[in-house]
Amino acid sequence: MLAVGLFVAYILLGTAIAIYSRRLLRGGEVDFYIGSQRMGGVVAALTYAATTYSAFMMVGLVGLSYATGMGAYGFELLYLVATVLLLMYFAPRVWERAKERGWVTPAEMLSDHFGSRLVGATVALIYLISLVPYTALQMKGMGEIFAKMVGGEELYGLGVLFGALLVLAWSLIAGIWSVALTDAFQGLFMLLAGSLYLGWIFMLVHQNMGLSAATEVLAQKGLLNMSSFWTPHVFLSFTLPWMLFAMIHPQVVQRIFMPKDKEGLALMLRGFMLFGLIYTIIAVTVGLLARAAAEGGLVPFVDPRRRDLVTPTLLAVMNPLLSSVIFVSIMAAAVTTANSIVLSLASVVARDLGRRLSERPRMALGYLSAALLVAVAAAVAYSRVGYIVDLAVLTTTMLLPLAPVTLLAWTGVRAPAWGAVASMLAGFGAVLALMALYNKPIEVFLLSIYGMPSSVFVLLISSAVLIISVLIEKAMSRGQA
Amino acid sequence: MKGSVALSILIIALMMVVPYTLLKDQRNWLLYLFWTVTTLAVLAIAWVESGRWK
Repeated sequence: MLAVGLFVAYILLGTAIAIYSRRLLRGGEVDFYIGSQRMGGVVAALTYAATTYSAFMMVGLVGLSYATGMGAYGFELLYLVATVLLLMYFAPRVWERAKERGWVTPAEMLSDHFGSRLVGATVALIYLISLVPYTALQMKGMGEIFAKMVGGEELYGLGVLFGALLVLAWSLIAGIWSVALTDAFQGLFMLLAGSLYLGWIFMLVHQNMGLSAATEVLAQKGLLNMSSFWTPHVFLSFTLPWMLFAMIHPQVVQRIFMPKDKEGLALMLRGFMLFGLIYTIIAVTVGLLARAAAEGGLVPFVDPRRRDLVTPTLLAVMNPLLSSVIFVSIMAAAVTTANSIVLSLASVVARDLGRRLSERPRMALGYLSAALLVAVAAAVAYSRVGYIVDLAVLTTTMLLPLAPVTLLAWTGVRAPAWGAVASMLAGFGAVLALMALYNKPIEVFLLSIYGMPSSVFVLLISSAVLIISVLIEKAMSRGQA
Repeated sequence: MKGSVALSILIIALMMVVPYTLLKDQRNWLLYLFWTVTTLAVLAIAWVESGRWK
């Protein structure tokens, strides 16, 4: 009952914030989707962080650390430092260009750079197909945690439904303003709850078995170094797609456009990186200490092959008030990521696929596509496909073909529009072909092709097609001259 | 900026290689410490660089 009460309070408070945020909304598409570049640095940082760090952290990453050990820490930190590096180098120039050129969506950015709307339309289609698993992953997390806390597997579907409704409502009440302000509130709550979670497991282990004994247990299991799970191939397969996350996921690329000035942009980067480091340390340390506690008989043992159940199992044995707080924070983490994706995709559908419409029907198209995406993602979540981490990495693998063209746009290097389209379609086609040929399509990112991770293979194909198109274009222009 | 980027890339490369070489057979929290410190180094570089954005 405590969990339900806290969950209701969370819904009411979040909805109140979303409704309040309508005061900030000036009207029009640009304000609805990116806040007309009026966002302050603190809110921008919290929405960037809350959007990036999802239910994956407290469910997927805790479970991955529990099951596979320290390698999970390197995997997640490499994502963080790569994102920081990309933002440090590219964010100021991307922000400037967005302001100058009036970009609202990342697809528009690419259309503008390559001088063709076909590029934007291709990007939009790839986003739509790829981001369904990632949104579904958030709802799966909501369903599992809800079922565990409120009392029974049969309530999984209800958790997914609640999540879907919250995502849709908080995305559409005031567009980016309701998303960003509810993200800020939820982001702070996620940090608080994560700290309490870590404090609880730390005290449990410290008081009942001691940190030396816990270290010994983890060492015996080989979990303090790169365990047998984290072969170099697996480590690269997990890590490489995530290192490019900041340039291929529309919901985060779009956030670079939003701060009101460069000081705000710097604050966004700094706030995000501090949040990311703290939240990663929390998730991985909880997972490692939970494994020690489970091996020592302090908490129920979860089979590492069912790693997504680690956090739900721990929540079931801790103080009800604490577990309720953590439960709501995980819902918050899932909602903040999903609503940002939904709003971002709505903007892409409206502006890049519905470009010929006038603004009013375009807004209606945006609303409709948001509702449709939420419905499809909820249906996928309801069918419970795949491990949570695998689903997330699969999405990022499907978006990888966007990396070479985005890199050209961010560095200002020209290439023919047909080459950009061919590059994206070739890479995306390669991912789909691998999924069709492999008997476990959801784990296609773990495949080895000619000794390299499939992500590298996909990047090579997209890059090669792009380079060939540039060479052909140059040869043709020389021929004409 | 270029120096900062090069240094960051070098640190990231170390973060990927060292766990399989120098810190291969740890039975303590040294790898945890290594990754935390190297991450902090990249974050510190970005903190300084972003302070120059005008």
